[in-house]
Amino acid sequence: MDALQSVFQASTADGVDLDAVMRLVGQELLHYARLITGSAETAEDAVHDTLVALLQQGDGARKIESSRAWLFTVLRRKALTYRKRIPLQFAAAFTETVEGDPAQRLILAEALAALSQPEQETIVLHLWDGLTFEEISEVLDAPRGTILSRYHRAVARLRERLGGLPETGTPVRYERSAV
Amino acid sequence: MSDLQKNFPIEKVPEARLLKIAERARHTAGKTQNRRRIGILDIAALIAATILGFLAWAKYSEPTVAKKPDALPQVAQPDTLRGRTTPPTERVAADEKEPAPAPKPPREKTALEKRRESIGRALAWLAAQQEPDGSYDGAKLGAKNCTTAATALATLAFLNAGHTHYRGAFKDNVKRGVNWLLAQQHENGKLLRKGDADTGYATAIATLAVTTAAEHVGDKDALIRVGAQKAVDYCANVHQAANGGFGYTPGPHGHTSPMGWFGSALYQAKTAGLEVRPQAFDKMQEYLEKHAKCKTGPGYAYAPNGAMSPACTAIAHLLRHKAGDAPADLKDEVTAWLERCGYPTWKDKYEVYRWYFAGPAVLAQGGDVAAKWIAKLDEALLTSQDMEGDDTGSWPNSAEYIGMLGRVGPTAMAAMCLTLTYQFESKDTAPIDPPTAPVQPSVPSKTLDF
Repeated sequence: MDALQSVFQASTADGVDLDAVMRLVGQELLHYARLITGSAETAEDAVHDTLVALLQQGDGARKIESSRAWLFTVLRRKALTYRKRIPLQFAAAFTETVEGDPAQRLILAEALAALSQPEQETIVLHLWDGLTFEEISEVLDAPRGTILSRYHRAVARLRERLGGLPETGTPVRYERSAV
Repeated sequence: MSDLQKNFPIEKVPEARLLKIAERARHTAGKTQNRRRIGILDIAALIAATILGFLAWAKYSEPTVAKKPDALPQVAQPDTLRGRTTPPTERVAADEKEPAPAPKPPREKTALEKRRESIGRALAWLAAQQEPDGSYDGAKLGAKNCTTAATALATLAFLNAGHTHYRGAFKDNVKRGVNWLLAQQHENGKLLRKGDADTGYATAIATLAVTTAAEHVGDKDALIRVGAQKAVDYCANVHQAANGGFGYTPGPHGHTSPMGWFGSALYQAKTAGLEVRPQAFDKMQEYLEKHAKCKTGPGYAYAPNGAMSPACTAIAHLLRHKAGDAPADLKDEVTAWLERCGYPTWKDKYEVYRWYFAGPAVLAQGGDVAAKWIAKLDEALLTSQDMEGDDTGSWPNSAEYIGMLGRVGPTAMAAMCLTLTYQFESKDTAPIDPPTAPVQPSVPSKTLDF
């Protein structure tokens, strides 16, 4: 079983072990929240709200079938409420959340900006935040085939601008220990 | 820049900061719970006070008529009480929901209805990709030398779903597809567009399509029957190898893989009342038994003395099923195949190619095996069909083997897999038309526009 799912499974009446959750997916949650909110501080607030919602599930968290999808779904909703009417600068925010050569980051940002917002979100969730297509389908509430075609379309367009890209498949899932 | 996530890793936030957020969340949740406990006590006190007040009022009022229960005065609930009887966890869940009241959900569609709609959407998408001349342009699909194979597969998908030259919403697509395929026929009967990859597969699939069309037109269209007969003669008399299998090109050594399509075409020709030399069938079964069967365990190989191949084993089961092997005779082998290869499951490189060949022999087993196959196939395909933009109705081109034909190949094969189970369950062979209503996801999309 996925380490994160194990943490959810071990939840008690006091809730889930939040430290373990943050060690496992805290980076990705903050990253995704920051892309939506456009601000590091607000991203922390959105993640905080998500964790509160998780704690309030108590041992009901055990019943959550896809822990990662649950977290990102709730986070997305929380983060969007913070964003309110501020236009989302998804691609621009993205360059601030990754490391690497600044000039190349700018090129990447431009290439991402050329994609539609759902395509950007799918690419980032899959390649950087480590979600499977199944999980993204749950988070964005769209059929898996739609997510797959978004991904393939986006990769094709990114490839045109940037050169080689991974075809599909295994997302980078950071294997961190919960303890 | 072949590995974006490695070249541009996420900027790491120190772990201490992550844990601080967790700590803050624990603190907030603790306060929330305390506040709620007080709230519940407040509610209890208020309810008790209201009841006492009411009892006092009832006692000192002058009872002229016996009060009916429904005539009791309604105790107004203060605003502060509203919704406070919900347990804390349920309240949290409710907080997570959208504020707008949910519309009354429509009746849940049956699995058969969903499958039928999915097939209809797939056929509508396929119809939209067809060129005016009836072909499916390989160059547009990303496989410029596969026009024959793509056209044959798409036409076959329409035919299998009950559309013919004379009936169904896609009869014009069938007519144009079959006409185009027959227009590619060589002098010796071979069906292949000049310039297309000559690996046997395209010719075999095209022969299967025209023999299926021939069955439907019967004697009404002699030209189709003549063309189909010529194609069958080529397959059985020229392309079949001496060992009974079928190679990429005519020759002494055949393989199992191309035989899946060639064999299907020959059995279909027989059903359509076309002439096929009987030895062709005997040789195929001989090939399966003598050459393709694995020596080391159950299953069939791609070539003599090879290792078990999931797709080739499914092909062998199909051809034995078509040859008339009883389900009981195939039971052990089908069971072994399912144990080893599993029921349909979605994965990026999904195996719709082998599901197409495996379907008939698995369904013939009936009972739980067939029911599970149908359910798992639905689960794998209905949730992965594209429902957005120009790709609505299609499946991704990441499928094993057939993805080389762009989206047309996987979409045609997925539609045929679903058509088979639909007809198996419903016994309905009427044409499957596209859904009349606009495509709507079953759950309203929560995706917000940015």
